[in-house]
Amino acid sequence: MHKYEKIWISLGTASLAIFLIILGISAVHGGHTPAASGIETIHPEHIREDPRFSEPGLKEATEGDHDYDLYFIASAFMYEPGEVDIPAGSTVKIHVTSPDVVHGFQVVGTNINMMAEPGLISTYEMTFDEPGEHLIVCNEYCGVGHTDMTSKIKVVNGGTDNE
Amino acid sequence: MSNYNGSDIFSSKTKVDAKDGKLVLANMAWVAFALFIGGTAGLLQTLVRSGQFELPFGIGYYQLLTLHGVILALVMTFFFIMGFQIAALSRTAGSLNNTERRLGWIGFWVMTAGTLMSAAMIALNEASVLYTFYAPLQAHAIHYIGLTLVIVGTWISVAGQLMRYFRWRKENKGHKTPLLSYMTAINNVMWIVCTIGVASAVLFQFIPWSLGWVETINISLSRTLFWYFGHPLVYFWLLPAYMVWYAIIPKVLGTKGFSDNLARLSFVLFLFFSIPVGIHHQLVDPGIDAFWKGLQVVLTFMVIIPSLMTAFSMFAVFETYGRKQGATGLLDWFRKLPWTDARFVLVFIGMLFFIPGGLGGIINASGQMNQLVHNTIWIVGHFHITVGAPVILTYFAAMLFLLPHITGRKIDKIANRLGLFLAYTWALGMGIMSLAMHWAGLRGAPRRSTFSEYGGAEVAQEWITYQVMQAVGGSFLFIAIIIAILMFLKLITGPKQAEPEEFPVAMFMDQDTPVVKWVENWRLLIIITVFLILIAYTVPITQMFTENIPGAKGFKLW
Amino acid sequence: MTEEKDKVNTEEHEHDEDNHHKLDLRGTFMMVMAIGGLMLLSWFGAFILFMERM
Repeated sequence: MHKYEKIWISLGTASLAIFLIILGISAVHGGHTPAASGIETIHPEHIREDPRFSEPGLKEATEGDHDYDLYFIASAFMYEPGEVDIPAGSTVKIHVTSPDVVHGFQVVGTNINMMAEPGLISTYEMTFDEPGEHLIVCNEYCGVGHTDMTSKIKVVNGGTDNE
Repeated sequence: MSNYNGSDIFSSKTKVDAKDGKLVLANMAWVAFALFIGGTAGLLQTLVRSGQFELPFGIGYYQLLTLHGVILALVMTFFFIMGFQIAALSRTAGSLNNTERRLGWIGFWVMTAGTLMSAAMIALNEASVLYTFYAPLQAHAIHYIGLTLVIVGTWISVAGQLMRYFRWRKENKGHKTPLLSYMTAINNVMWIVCTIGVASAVLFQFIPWSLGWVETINISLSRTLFWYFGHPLVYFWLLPAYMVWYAIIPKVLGTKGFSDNLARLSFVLFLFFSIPVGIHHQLVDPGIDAFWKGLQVVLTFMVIIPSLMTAFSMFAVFETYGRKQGATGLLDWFRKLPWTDARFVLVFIGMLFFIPGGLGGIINASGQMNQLVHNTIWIVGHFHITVGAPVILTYFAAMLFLLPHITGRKIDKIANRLGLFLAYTWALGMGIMSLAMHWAGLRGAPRRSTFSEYGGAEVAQEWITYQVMQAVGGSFLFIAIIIAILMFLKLITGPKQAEPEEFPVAMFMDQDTPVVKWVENWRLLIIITVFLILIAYTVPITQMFTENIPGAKGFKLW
Repeated sequence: MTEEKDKVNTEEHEHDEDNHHKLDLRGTFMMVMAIGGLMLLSWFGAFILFMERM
């Protein structure tokens, strides 16, 4: 091996190792593990019989260290709820599932971006600090009405709307 | 059967056997046809997404997108790879025997039959499930059977190719295998190991389910088996391009390759690390524990290393050549490169695209950072500057010498000039399109979506601006495809020559150094490959069976 | 079927056996270091964007 090649491969590999270490620290200590990790099942045909998803939307958290649970049903071709208000500064755990095909769940402008699959619940925890509006789009092809699937998260000051 | 003589390989007179050549040409005919159909679909998609155009005759956007993906990502690449590898073997290991060649032809016809079956289902709008065919969207069973036949066809052709490689080894005990033959063997072994995943999914899950024999399908398992195949698939596309870069381009320049042993080593690393990494396509899927996602991210980073090695080797060849031509400064050797030779220019532009392509890939694979870009159009930008530029432009460069080599012609001035136009037009179109895609993706624009204003959302207006740019880039790319077709036609018509175009095969600077023994110890290579796969996949796949994930019924929502 | 050209080839490659380490690859080194720099820039750029959106 040429001397320069040794240097290049060593430095290149070292950079990759640094990236991995940063990602590892951010995952373990920052709690930033990839979205939707873990296995939580639900029967896709009986989603609405499940108390969590019978009336999807924002609910005050009863356990864990987050403030609210936000339940979403992603189905062909809509999200329920179609719009939701979140008090600024609150930490929200989002739960998404699908009664039919695979959908995407992407909250534009945030790191919330995960798949919704029938039979499983995808979760992600996030703190909404800045007031504002976020579009939610389906980013996995789900059929002819795929681009009609939208919802909205409004981060609002003060109010404690938690229907 | 001609006897092997070490120096024959490097002679410009050694040719692909005439009978093998016909098989190669048959495969290449499909490449040209698939390129045209798939390219037309791509153009129409960018036009639709610009918001200025609607599809006629009731054609669906997603129907077109399915066609685009299947015919380019699967059909075109597979036929090229089979044809190119057969040519490389016939050229460097010697002509195929009748059995090997027959397997090549059977494979070709099985792939053809499968392609036509799937194409019919796509045309009838019975299979608008995109090329990843994620369940529980359910296509017609014939579509899945057709795709299976395409894969089975490659297996048959690959069997013939591997037989040729191992026959050479038996006939030339103690000799170092010709590099190109060795590389095809690595690619083929990787292919067999990885296609077992998608074949199991289709045979045991999709076909019984689409025929109604079983009611539900295990979604997580089907996605995981798909990506167990889906990531090595991209290396299956890439390795033939690397074969050209390592073993052919130095001869095009009239110089030597950098290191035969390092080339082999990098291919071994691709065999080891391109398979146990598929979960990096499922980083935000439910049903997989964070630990296993993380492990596959680490393994994914290992597969970057052979590409770092490749980058060095390529520049080293170029610099050494330029210095031989009299360059003395730090970078003036660039000027000495053959900028009028289309074979070189096509490949070089491809290599340039691979720099941002590789860098983007590192970001995509970076665990939680995948959430920035997952399923946004950034990803589409990414694979268009990887498979859609370095890989395809290198394929074009290979066809530039292969077609006249086999049909007994030469690359004439016009064909060479068409090749240069092709390279520059492609660079322009892909540059505009992929840049727009990357930027729009970072701003949240989703992939796999037709034109939409998303209820008038402000951010969606911004996306549309980028989509107009994509249509501009897509139009240039379509022009480039027309140029490519004209180039192919020019290459196979016109007067035959006594001395046909050379199939260049490079010598290496370390040609006489003995090969590192273990890189051709196939038992060892396969054991390591399987071992890594077992580490990466045993637990996640077992959990998909043991965690009682409810199955899903099929839906046809298009 | 030894060709003239091949003979030349064979002779030539005996000479540059030991050339490998003596090659002047300053330019190559600079190019790969530039790629390495771009790799660090793009990755940290993306990481910063990720943390901002957290």
